[in-house]
Amino acid sequence: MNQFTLETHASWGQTAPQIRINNQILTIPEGTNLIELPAQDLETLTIDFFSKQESDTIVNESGQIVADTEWRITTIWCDHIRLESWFRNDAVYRPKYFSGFLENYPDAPAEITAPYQFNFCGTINWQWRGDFWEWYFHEKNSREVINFLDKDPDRVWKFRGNTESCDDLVTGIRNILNL
Amino acid sequence: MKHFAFINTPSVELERPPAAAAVISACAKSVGWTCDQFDFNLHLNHAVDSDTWQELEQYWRCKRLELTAATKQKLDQVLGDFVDNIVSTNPDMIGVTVFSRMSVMAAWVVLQALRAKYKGKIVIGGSGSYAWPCSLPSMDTNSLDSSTFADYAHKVGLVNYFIQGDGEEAFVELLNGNETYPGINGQPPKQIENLNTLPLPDYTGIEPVNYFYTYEPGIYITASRGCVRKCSFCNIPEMWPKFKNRTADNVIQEIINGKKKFDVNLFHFTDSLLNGNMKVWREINYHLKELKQSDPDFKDIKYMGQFICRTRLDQTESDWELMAAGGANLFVTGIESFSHRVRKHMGKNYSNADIDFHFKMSAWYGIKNISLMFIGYPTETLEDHECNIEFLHRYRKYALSGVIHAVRWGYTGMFRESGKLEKFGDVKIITDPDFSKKFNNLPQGIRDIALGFGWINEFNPTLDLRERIRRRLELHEVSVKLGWPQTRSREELQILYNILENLNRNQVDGQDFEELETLLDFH
Repeated sequence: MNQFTLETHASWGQTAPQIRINNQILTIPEGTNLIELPAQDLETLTIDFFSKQESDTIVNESGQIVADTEWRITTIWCDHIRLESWFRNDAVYRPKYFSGFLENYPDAPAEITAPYQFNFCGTINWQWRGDFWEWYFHEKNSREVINFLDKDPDRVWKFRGNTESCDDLVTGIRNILNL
Repeated sequence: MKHFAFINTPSVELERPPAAAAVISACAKSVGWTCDQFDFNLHLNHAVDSDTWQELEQYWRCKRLELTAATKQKLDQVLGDFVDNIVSTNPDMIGVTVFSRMSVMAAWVVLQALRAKYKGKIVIGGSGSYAWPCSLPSMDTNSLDSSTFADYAHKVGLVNYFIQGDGEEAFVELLNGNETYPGINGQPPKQIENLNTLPLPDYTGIEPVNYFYTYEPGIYITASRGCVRKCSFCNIPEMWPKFKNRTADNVIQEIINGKKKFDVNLFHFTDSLLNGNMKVWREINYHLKELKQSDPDFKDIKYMGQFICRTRLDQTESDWELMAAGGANLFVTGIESFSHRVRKHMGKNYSNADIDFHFKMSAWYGIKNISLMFIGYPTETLEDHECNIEFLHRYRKYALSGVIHAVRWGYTGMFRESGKLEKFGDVKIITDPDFSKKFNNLPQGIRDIALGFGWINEFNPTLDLRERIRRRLELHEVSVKLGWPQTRSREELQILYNILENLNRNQVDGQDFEELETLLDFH
């Protein structure tokens, strides 16, 4: 089971943003807050932002937005371990635009990667394969940029560490000691 | 105006400019000398191809006994030109750093080339100067000679002076003509009382951006010397009997200076521990947090360094929040053992719950750790060993997530003298008087490790060398199975293999292990 925690920053228009995760509904408070999501054992995390109405966007007489229901995720933890920012930025946001908005912006994207803010209802989704932490380990390592490997090819095992089994040496030592 | 030339020698990492060069340069300038810094490590890397560099690195680190003819020729040519260049600046004195035991071989080669062309005064310093000279090619012996590399280099006339202990004040005194100041040529060193009085390091000429950084350019910084603990296995209290730290303002000034002058965001503390004085440590982090929040130029400042696990009573969660806000990026933490009993004997009085808290806070605030561990401590029982296996299972998520960036298991215990350990009780170390004779052809660079293996604790007799190595292998294998990144595991296992292979070849060739066991189980 994995337990995700979000640090959110939200503002409210008429109503608070509400999200649904695995049939559980959570309300996102105004300002900066921590939201504990229900523990789950899936290879995906999907947040369904479902509550916003057009009336949540409040405009003044000159048409400027003075208040709105919108929110963003600033940090994510899994099992109380802070995830690197690439995980947050790997989210895929599929907004369900208001019909009025689509009339003005017919080319609005159906999918937004690395979404900064959620202004429309829709789903925010992450996917991985197998055990979350094993997937995260490989994904994290594959994204890590290690400079000047040509100048110092050993710096991966020196500085980053590796999981090399060193079977030749282990076997050699075992043979010598008859272990 | 008098002129000083400072040489940095291999084998040190190419990550960042050598701190010693920047410190010595600032000290020399503070008393009116000029100073040029020559980084032979970097110069050599530029001058040779990758294969030659690798071969030289293996040679400096004593993984190979000889250089190929082509590499030897190239080294002689590059070193010769390098020395000619230094000598052409007509220095009044030349300093050579022996950074660690891994620098001994290179320092030896550089000093020989230097002495052949320079008849002036040469001074050496650095913690490698304390190393046994038995790693040198000219020392065809497995002797447990207690003299140091510095003594030896002085005795054979390669150097005029060696400085041990805190070097800055002694170095300045030497430049001023005082050759009898504490720390010079074997005089007992004197610890610097007020680190705030030292000049800020001068990286002019060895700018961080010209180095081969793994992640980003950075510089070293020292906020304290010594340690607040006196762990049974550690020699820091001998080097710095008292824990001394700079004030927070003084440290912050150096960080601001480093950022403004050399445009670096990463500060690598060389301290034995960052959190020795919690009051000052909090102040440093508070100032860093303020700096990062108030000035966009400083928002990306981050730091790394060695750290100690503290008890819950020593700290609160807000300390961790503050460190994260101050830029804490990586802590190298000597957890040493997941057995409380073993840690207590070592002189570390924190509990496993305290370790839990340390990693829990690191995880929540996104601070990485490298865990340094110690296998085969003299009091370690099988039950204690099982605790280390539990450590690997218990914290696996932290390893996979990068909270524990890597673990280092080490070589297993090596002891040259046991008095300090025995003070804590439950230990009576018996060293094999003939252990050195059991190695006939031990590669030079691993003699100091190998010769430290010839011991057993009379009160824990089943922990012989064979059992220590068995535990080392088991922890390596479990680490691999659970996906733990390990740092330097191949290097360490290679050295262990070389030592055991040498023992086996020379003592029990063609015989079965029972005889080797008899050989090792000498108590």
